Amino acid sequence: MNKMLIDTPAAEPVIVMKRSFNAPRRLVWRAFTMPEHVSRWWGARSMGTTRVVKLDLQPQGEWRFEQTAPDGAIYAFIGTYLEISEPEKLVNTFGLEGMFTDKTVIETHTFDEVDGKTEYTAITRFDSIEDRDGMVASGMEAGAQESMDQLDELLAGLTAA
Amino acid sequence: MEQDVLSLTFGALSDPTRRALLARLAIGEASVGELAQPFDMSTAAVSKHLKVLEDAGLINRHKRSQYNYCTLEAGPLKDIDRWVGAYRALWHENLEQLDDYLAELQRVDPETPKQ
Repeated sequence: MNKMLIDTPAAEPVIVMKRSFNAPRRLVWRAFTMPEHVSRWWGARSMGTTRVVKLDLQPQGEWRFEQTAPDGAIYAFIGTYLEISEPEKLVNTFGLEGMFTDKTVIETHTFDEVDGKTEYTAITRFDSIEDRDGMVASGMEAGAQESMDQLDELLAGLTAA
Repeated sequence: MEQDVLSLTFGALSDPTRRALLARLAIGEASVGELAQPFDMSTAAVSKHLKVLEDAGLINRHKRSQYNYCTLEAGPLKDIDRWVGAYRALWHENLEQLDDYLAELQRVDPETPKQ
């Protein structure tokens, strides 16, 4: 009943995760955003305790959680906080050092409180700089710029009149 | 190396037209003209999307008689699938542990959780 639901819609490169927690959302928020709490639940148990090396909770602030595998290899999960709206929404990038850039994957965590319980939803979106570059190259950006230029001209005309 | 490949693949997959093209190619080989048909866009516009998919290693293009044909290249999609699988496993474990931890916190003191 209290299990996680996972959905990977075929039409979009996103992963949606939902889960209900028997706790008020301000507590869930703290668990997500305070280092002493994060280290208690984050990470694969097979790799022991997670070390919260950095958790700079502010827009563009970075986070870094490290785990040590039984063979001694260190796995560093890294990212940047993009949006912090306590206690309902947290947006951050997610990456594993050495495997992909931290800008590729964006996690949006939302916390809704219903009758003292927290309905948690995470949407993981695969974004990329290459794609935005691709948009510029394909001329979509030029079209948007043209509209803005026309608006500027119109506004300038109105102001002059 | 690996991060560049993944970024390219994610980038290629982040556009709905390109995902639709891949979905069509998953059924089997198709010419550029056949691929363009369901879309309200020129063959040239579709060719640009196909170029992005080709650069990401998601499709192969080859000429036969006077037509250009495309086929799906499954390798990069399998890498994404592996990554997504590992990611989901991590979060599955995370959320199970968070559930336990939240219960533990509330047994101590719901107002001022301590570590």
